[in-house]
Amino acid sequence: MTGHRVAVVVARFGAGITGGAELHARQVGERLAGRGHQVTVLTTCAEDYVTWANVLPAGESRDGPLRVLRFPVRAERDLNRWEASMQPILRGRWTPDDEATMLREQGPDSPALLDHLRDHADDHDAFIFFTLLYAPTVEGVPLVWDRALLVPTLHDEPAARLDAQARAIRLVRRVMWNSPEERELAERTYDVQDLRGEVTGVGIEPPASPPVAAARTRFGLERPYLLYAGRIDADKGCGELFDAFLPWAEAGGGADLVLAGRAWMELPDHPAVRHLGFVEPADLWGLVAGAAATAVPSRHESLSMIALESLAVGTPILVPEGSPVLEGHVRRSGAGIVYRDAADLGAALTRMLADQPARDALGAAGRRYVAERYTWERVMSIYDDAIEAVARRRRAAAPRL
Amino acid sequence: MPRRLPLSEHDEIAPYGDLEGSPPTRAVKRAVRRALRRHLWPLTAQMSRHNRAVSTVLAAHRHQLTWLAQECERLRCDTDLLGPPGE
Repeated sequence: MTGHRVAVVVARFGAGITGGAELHARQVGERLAGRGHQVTVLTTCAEDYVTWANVLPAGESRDGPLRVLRFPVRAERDLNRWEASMQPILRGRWTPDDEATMLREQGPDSPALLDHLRDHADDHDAFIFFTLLYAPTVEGVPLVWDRALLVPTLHDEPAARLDAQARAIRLVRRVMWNSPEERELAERTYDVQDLRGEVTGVGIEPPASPPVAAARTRFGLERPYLLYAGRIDADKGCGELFDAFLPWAEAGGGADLVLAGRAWMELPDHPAVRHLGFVEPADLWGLVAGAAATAVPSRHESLSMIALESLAVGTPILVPEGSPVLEGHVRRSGAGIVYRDAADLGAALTRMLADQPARDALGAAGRRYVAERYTWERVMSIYDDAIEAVARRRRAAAPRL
Repeated sequence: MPRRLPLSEHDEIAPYGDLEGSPPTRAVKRAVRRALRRHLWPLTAQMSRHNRAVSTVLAAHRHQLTWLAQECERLRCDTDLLGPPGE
């Protein structure tokens, strides 16, 4: 197989952007470049997904092995107008015009990015779109459908139920699913049962010896701790996590809650809650491996890298009931605990602290689960096959739609 | 293209219109309306229920049409990639 010209289309891309889909795009892009493909990232100048403000410079730049083309966003998101545009969707009755308005208000609205897709489609043999939710994918896929692959990172949310999204997911040549639950969600949401593609996910490669002691020293962690890593946001279930953890800590729980990531909500002022801010990946491995357990409280996950990273280093995960993807990880791995409420979470955490053999058994099951299913070699061979297939079968003519 | 507004399933048919005209005319209209109240209100309520049912059916039809259009487009794309017969 020869190297192909591959475009990765993602709403945001940059060194400090650590969202799950964006990190996923980077990891896949860098590994494709390492396998001999010429990879170009097509993205916007936005750095944050709330305003989509143009922060990064437009134009061409390099990011390691990747060529990056950034296009400006036409307008920052006006939250009031976006909320108003969501009302017909939330009511369950909407028109195509309502969809177009909602997509534009949700952003990122970058006509220049779509123009580039339209005008330079033949510069690339394959396009890999990340995240079905946003306009660059919904409006970009129909422009290059004959060589489009999709990593939908789909969550069960009202904004992901649009007809335009159903159209895009039908048009792509293959879908790279993050989990079987994500595929089932798409089949239910878009009323289609025969979407091409397979469960692909990501590769997880933990260091042989995570720097547990160094991380503890660096962040001054003396007590056992429950780790939360990622964007600290009410949408990620962090409010419920705090509500469940604080009573347990007040009752003498015996562990801290360590938060690693940027905070997008007010944090509780409590001595048992430690906010570390953004943590470098090397330190994060040490933090994860040293935790009594990792809490993954979000109910809107399509994969959850932090859950897999945690399992990979033998740290059990605590996940809420009602998150099909996370419950699926726990069910398949046997390396975590599903909690229903605050009392359940407290009991699980107490068990992780008091019953070391049980925790070790969960940890060993988690290591096996990740080693068997989430290796980059397996993941990238699926991408290689998909790219080869669309490069071979693409139309000779320019896009017609 | 004119904007198509969805039918609102909560729209009700009012059993009476605005009262217009001089004060004596409005008084007469009001008296007539009051006298016919027991007859008209059940009728308009029935019409509202019918419209709600139609609105629901139309929404389902719209969904089906969208689904069919998308499936047609998908099949057309798949066919395009097959190439000419015999290839």
